[in-house]
Amino acid sequence: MKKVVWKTYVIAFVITSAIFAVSFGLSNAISEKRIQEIRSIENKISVDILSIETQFSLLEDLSCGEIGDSFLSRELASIGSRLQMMESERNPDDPEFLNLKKYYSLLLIKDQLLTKKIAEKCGDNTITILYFYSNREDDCEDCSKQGAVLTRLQELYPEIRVYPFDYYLDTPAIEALRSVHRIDAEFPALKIKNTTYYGLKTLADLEELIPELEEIKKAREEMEALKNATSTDQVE
Amino acid sequence: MNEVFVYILLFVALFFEVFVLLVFLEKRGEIFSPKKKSVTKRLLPAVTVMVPVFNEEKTVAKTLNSLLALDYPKSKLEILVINDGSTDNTQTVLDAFESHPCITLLTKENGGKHTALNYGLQFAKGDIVGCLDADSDVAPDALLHIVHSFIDDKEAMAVVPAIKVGSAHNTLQLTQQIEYTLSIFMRKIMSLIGSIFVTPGPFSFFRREVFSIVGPYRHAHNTEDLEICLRMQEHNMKIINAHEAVVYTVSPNTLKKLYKQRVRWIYGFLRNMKDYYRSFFFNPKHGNLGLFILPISTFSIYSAIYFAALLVVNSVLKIINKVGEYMVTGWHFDIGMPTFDFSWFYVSSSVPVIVSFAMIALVFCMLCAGLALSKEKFRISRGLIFYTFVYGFISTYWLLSASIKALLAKKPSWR
Repeated sequence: MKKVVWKTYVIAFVITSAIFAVSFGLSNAISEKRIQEIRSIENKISVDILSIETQFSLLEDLSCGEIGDSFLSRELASIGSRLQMMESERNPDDPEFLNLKKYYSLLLIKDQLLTKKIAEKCGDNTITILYFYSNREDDCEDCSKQGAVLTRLQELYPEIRVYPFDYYLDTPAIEALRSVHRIDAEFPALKIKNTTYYGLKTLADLEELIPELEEIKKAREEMEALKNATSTDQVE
Repeated sequence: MNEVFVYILLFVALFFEVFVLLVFLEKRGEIFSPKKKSVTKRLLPAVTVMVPVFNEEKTVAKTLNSLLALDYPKSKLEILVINDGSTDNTQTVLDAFESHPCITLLTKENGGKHTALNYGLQFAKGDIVGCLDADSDVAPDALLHIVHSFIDDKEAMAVVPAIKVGSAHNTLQLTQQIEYTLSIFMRKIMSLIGSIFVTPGPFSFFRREVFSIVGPYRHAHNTEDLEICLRMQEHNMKIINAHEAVVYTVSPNTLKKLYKQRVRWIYGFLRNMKDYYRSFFFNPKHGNLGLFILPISTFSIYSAIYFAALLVVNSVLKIINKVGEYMVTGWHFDIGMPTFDFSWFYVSSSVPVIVSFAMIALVFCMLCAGLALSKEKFRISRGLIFYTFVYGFISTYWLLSASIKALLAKKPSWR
């Protein structure tokens, strides 16, 4: 019978297991670091919201022009893409991840309410879209497409604010939001102004549903034409 | 379930890499400073080199000239050239060598490489008999290294050389250079654990009695070099590697030729395993070869296909998704461009990705070991880049093709 190098197999097994253990450790450490980063952005946004709310309480004494532009949407979008990345690598049912997502949803709701309040007080006509999706398997085949449409819409019209919510996220605020806006479990669902739309809406559909977009486009084109004319005058 | 399966495949693949590197580290003293006996040329054994030739008019002269230039007493060197019914100008080229005292020209009807070798065996007079493919040439000291290995190890019944790519003119050949360097390392490791399972056509040598014990060459699905080696292993014969004996082979210069060569090799391996050597698998009687090397070699073919299939399926799904998105957002150039700021945050940190990086690092260690054995230096080349990032994907094509052919028992063409 030929010789078998059992000792080498055992050592190789131990080393391989160690490399796997280190890989798991490293992966967890990086995930932890990601969670910390999201948490720190969320904390910052939370402070920003508190600051705007305080400003808002003082609104009676302040003019609308003095309310700072918070840039919250951009930062919220940054958390959104980070959470999406984590969701693809981690178990989406991981309690720590779900906590971050819940907190993110709360911040979205707060930002949306604040935007609405400012719009009412200052006559600002910011267009907001509430987007309800589902992550459950086979529950919403079109949700990824709807997400792409809304991302593209925001790229084309940065004036629009899109607030995405996981319909089944287990938190009272989302439940309240669902019941206030009377959203059924049919996906994707979009709440634009006072109307709820179910099913996939393409970019063309949305441009039709929101006539203000045409005005925004026209205003932008006029502005650009004016800018071009001014720069041509300067050259001459 | 799928995730667990991927983890198992990765664990086994990583285990193999760790195992071979461990063997290398454990036996490094034996590899780099072996105990060699000095033998005067007078006491060297008689050697026969068989050169089976079929339509090799372009390469055979170089092959024979390299044999004639061997640093070995000519009185003890016999070169048998067996023309296996060539239909081109091979015979005319061979005729120019007829007068050389070391060379004997033999001609027979075409019957395949194994028949040419068996025909040559009838005439071979050497104590040590080997073969050399007519598309390869040898370093002048190669035969001395081979013979010294037989002298140093009385138990060795066959000695296999280190094979290098002769001259590389394009990226594909440069890539094969890297692959052959890794093979030099692997062959050494297999030798150290008694698990060599191919005595390659280019310059493998046998003690003469091997053929009387195990019998002549067989067709063996066009991989007679693999089959005779496994037959020797079945008879518990020792096969070792002389990494200092260098032979240069012509590597395929087009993807089509490479594909055909590799399909033939892999098909031959799978069919031989299935038809004749299934009993080796997980059988400790056959040592490390049966217990680990043959199973892992078969496993690596299927796992490579699995990972490639996974990649293809995921890529197709992504493309379908992307097209679906285009259809609802309208065609525009900037879709797919990241809308978020780039940061470390988005670098994947999943366990399979980290393990894959560890595996790539270990392959580089193996490559460095192969270079050390070849007495060459590491340098970043086109071939290395292509090998690292592309070769794995294209090789799946012949792995898959050979597996399907083996499953359907459909013979691949030789050329």
